[in-house]
Amino acid sequence: MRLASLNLIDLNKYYPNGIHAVKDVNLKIEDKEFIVLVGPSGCGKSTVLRMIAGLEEISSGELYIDDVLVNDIAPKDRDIAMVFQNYALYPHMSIYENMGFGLKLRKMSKDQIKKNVDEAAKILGLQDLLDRKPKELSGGQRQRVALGRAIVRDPKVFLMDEPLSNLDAKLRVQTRAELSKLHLRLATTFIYVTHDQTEAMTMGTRIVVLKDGVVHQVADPETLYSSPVNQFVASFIGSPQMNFIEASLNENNGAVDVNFEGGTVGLNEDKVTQLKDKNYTEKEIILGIRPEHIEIEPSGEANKNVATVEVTELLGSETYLFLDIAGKNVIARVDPSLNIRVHDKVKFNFIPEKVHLFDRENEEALLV
Amino acid sequence: MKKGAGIFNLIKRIAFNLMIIFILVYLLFPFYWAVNSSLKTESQLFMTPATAVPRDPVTLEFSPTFQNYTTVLQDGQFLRGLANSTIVATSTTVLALVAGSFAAFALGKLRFRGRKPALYLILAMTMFPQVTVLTGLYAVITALGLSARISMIFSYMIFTLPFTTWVLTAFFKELPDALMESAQVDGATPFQTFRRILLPLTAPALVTTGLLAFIAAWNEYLFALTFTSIDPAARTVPVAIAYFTGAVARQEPFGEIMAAATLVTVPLVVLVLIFQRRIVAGLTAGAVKG
Repeated sequence: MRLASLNLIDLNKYYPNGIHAVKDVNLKIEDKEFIVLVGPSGCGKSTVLRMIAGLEEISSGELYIDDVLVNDIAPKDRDIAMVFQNYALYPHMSIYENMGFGLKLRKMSKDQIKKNVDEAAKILGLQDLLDRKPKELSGGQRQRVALGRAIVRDPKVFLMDEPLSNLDAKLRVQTRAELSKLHLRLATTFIYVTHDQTEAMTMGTRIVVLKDGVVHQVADPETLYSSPVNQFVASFIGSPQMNFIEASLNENNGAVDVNFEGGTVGLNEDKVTQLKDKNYTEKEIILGIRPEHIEIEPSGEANKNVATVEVTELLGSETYLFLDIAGKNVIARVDPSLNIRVHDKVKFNFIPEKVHLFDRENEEALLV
Repeated sequence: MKKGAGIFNLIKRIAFNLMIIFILVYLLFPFYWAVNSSLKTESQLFMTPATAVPRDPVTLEFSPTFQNYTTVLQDGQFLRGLANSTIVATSTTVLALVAGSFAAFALGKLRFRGRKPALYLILAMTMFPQVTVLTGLYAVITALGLSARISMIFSYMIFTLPFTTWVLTAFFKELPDALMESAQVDGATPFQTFRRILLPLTAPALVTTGLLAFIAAWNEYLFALTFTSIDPAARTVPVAIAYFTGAVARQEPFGEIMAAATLVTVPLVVLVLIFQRRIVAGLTAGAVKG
């Protein structure tokens, strides 16, 4: 069994035009992980991947693959394979030659090449296409050839740079599942770059959230969803995104309430203790609540926690309500059977255990 | 209204076709006249008015002669010229393509200091009128003791190499970087990437630029005339034709010159026909994303 762990220590990338694309990235990747680097465009995620591949010089910091410092080792000697966003298949070669090119360069025997290519082609269902040229293939097929070219090499690490972004929506969902299966089957380390949080959440065993070249949080999907460390991560993960409301914390007979214009939510004891420890009980904060953590009651007769429904979006299994809470727009996800209509007045209740609180200045999460 | 538009369209179509006819005549007439003249005897050439096809001076019947061609093909100078031209033009083309594609790979795909200045320096090489470099070159060649053929091959690089480099650079630039990176990750050295991935993809451009370089070298006269002045055996076809002499003093063997000119264009036409499909691919490459 081949082990492949990576260690990124204080990685930095400065471009000649002065842009500091990657800032002090520290990351330890264990063997067989499916790591997803995710973030908005220009966050440096592709640069990190390209530095791991050796296509981009490391300005400062150290990169270890299996405890070997690889900063100055050429891509071909790093034992990695990469799938490019536009696949980068060699147009003048057949699919077979495309997949066998890397092996041929490594002076592998013809029989061995054929064996490896056939095996990879079988995994990916490409057996019938081996004699074709890339331009005769559909987008999805090309994408699989790009994967196949990586698989035949049997590398320690798979690097993928937005491999699904050129596929149509339906194929993307399908390929997502196939990639997860492939990861289990090959049992090697995958490092995957995407700007799509859904891809990150569905495939990654651990997710690295980047913004402006800085790593904001590294966690498994559940943790990332339930305990984002700051407002950026909270807003980036989850769809539709988390609602943010300006609010204040008020202590009241030992209990702590989060008050905002048009409503209030009481905090449970565990959260109160944490806030008291941090001396945060009388402060202006940002309240975060995910659409699925808002409970709605159709009759909004009370004088507190009342919202007006502005738009409803019925998606079949669920309905999104676009609420107006004292002038603030908040999205809630509800059961379609509630049968709520536009202009209805409804009573809302933020589930106290699911409430997120963020500091107004540094946007850090206040609760763990 | 409708009728007016119909007439306007008709005029537009007539004008368009007239234009095409004009361009065709403009392009083809010299060639036609060369062939016409090459099929005439001395006396037919001096007929006034000149005839559109070779005609007997007395009976005015159609009577072409192949005398000029047989004379030319029996002329040792001319045949040697053909051989020399083939050697010189082929060598020039091959050298220009090899050096040009190396340079274009570097200039189009690699990042290094002084890339832009290098490109413009190469272009600047073509800007000197050839006459101005002629004397200097001649002195250099005599000092180095180079043979006439070698001198021609190297001096033709002055105009073929910048051209091939520039066209190929533009072509290399258009190839996606990801292809190179992919090859790099696959384990290819820069030379393997160049040779096995990028070069096959530039084949149409290689053919197009190669042909143009070949034509330029094939027809070159000034350098050839100068460098072969001490070595008549090395004369290329254009020089050999210029040295054609008539049977009597001061006679200009016009028919033979035209026959030779017609024969000389044949190899070019054959080459173009062979590579025709590639040329079109080369000229339109990059227009469609592939």
